[in-house]
Amino acid sequence: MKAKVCLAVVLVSLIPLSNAFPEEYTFEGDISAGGTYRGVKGEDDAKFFEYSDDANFMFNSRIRLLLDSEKYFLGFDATDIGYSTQDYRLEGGMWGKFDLTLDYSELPHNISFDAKTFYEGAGGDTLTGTANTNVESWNTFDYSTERKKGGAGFKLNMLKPFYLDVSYSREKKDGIKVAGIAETSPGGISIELPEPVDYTTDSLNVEAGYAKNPFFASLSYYYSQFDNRDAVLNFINPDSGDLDTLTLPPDSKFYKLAFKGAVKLPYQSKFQTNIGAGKTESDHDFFSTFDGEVETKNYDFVLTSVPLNFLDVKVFYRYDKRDNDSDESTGTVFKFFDYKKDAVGADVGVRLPKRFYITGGYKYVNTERRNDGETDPEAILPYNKDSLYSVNLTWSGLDFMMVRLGYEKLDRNADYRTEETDLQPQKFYAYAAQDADAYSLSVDVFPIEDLSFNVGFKYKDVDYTDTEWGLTGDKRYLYNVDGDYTIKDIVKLFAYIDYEQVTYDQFQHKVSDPQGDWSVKEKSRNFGYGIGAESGAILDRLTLKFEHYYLKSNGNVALTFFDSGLFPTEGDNDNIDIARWDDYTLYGFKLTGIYHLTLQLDLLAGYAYERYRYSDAQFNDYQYVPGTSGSNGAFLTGAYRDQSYTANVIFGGVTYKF
Amino acid sequence: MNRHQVLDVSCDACHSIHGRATYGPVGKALLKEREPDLCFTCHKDIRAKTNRQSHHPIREGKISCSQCHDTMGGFGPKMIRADTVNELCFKCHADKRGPFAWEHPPVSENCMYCHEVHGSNHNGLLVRKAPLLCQSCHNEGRHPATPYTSFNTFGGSATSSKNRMFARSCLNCHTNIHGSNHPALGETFVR
Repeated sequence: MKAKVCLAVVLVSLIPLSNAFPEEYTFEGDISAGGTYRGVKGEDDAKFFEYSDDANFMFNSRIRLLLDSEKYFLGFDATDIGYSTQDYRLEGGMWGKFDLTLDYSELPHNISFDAKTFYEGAGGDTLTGTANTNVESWNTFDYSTERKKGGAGFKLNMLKPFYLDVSYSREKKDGIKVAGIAETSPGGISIELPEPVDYTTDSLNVEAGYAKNPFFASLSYYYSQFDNRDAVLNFINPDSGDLDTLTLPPDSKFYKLAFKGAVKLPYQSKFQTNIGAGKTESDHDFFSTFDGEVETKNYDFVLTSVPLNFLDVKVFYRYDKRDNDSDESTGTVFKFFDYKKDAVGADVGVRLPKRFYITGGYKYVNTERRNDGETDPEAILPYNKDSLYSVNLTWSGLDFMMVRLGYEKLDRNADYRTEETDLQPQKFYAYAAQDADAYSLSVDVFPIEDLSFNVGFKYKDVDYTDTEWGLTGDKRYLYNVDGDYTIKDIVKLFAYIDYEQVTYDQFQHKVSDPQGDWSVKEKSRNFGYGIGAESGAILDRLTLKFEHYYLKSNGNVALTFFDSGLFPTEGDNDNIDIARWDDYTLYGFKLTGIYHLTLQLDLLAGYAYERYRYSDAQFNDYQYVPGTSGSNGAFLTGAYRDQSYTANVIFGGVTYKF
Repeated sequence: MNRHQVLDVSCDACHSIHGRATYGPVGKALLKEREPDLCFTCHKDIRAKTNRQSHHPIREGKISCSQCHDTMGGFGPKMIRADTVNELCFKCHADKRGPFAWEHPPVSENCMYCHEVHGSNHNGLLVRKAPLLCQSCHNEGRHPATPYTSFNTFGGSATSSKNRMFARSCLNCHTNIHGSNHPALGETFVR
């Protein structure tokens, strides 16, 4: 109903506005209407409907209208009217003078339908009830959220060289997401909880600037306010029988003021700067003695130049700082994280004979971290010194071919600053010392006007040089081939193939009884292809389109234990591996026919089929209550439980263009 | 800081040089194709990622590349429309920005330490699956240092520690992994 009201308002608004076009104008657009039936088979069809309305039958709609003249324009675009994916945009103004936009959109995110819990009150801020194993008697709910966002924007360019850009948006997100808690900590059973989502985020952005050669300057202010209706989720803890509390995302505000400037200099040079300062604050009804406050600062200075016609140069400096200035509550030691980063570097590009272009770059980044609340705040997290080298070569010496080669090297040093932390064999991969090499090759070939194809390859090898316990290395290969070929305007063919293989190596040590070393080699392989064809209008009347796609992911985890005490009963190095690790296969095709009844009227009909099969060691043979005590115990809800589906889709409609 | 310019990508690689600007994001910028297809002409690896089972709704047309990236250049990494990765992510995911009493340092520094934003094989756009992702940093003792095997799955025969492995693994208990404000149990992110 709301959508219909919006549409009526917009259409009515177009009538008087057309009178605002005193000079000759054009009014054009297209209106599409039709229907789609989606028959989905599966234990849970939420994955198929992940980002769409979950109705099996949808009335499709699309309206695009444009009033246009030499001076003015007014456009309107509406899609999926009345559904949870509806999208509206109204934009109008004077070309080059001002621009006003209004927009509204909705976007669902469906995770699992018909999840189950023994609790009463899913979706609210209090969960009551008694844990029990009679799953059939549990309450059902959907893990699903929806974003509804509306906004307005205004751009003013008529006071050139000055400009103003203002935008505001309000986004409401509501639904239920998955949470989990340990009944007792440490240890104890785990319990999945439906966490209520009822967020409102207001955002305002104001930017005013001056842009006239050789200067540019702008000042911007960004404000974002986040409100969560529920500060906490209360639930009956089965262990104690009392009300327990899970904290939810706190209300917060973020402010940022930024200045950007640029000036053109001799030798085709340009100096640019970006200076920003922000502050984030959070409020806590539940934890009133804590007030969160984080300040951020950043500066950028960049000089680009073309001192010679074959030489491009860029030098830059960047500074980033995060400072957690939150109040500490008396008697409680929190963990506040600060960092400071300085980056300096240069890129040089040289145009060589025979249409070679080579660029080389160097970047040095110094990162300092501090974790307040630790016994020695500076000792836990290391300082990093990164040296990043890059070389890229482009060759376009033949009119029908372009070749790009790239290489990047990262040399990361980690300074733990105390001998104790330096000697610790365990390293956090995000900060650990590493040597990383990345290579890339891309070849584009277009031998004739109607044929083009591309072959690409990327390889990256990361070695965490000082890590004894933790992630020690990862490697990834990516191959891709693409092509399209048009046969005399009769049919256009296209195809692509992707293959990626990623391997992680990890070495761990179990510290407590039973002690022992173990290692992991985690591998995932992804293969996908797509092919398609689109005919030109057959006898000026009929256009046919065909698409087919396939995607397969195969992951596995190979474990090796170096101490026999680690093996589970009846386990050994031959049977502990995990064969299913987010394995899935997606297969589908779509056939569309468009009959051009007249120049203005198209009729469309089609059929699509999609099959998705998912298999994973952590979800196969799913049990809602695998145990009721100890570390095998859990009360689960079915989140992400069985995502496989088969879908048949039939669609049709009519489009009128004017 | 336009990486496209550094790599000598010409304007006409993306924009038509003839015609008149019209209504809408594509028409106004005279783009040769709609996003993301235009961007995928060069960024094949990103196209492959957006096809993964866990992905932002890019291929569904609900998020465009230019909502996060400024193709004309920006001062942030990867030409994003913010000065840091987290500043960009928090525009849509403000619930993650805290500030929290108990911070998880890699979360506060860079979302991409744990998330592959364009698409992943693993739920929640994670770069790896728990528990291995978590164990790539945490090896302090007790359960973070414990190996979990096929014996710890729903159908496995392990007599303990299965709830560290099945379903959402570490996140079965450590739900507030982005940060917590619970006075007593916030440090381990379980409340």
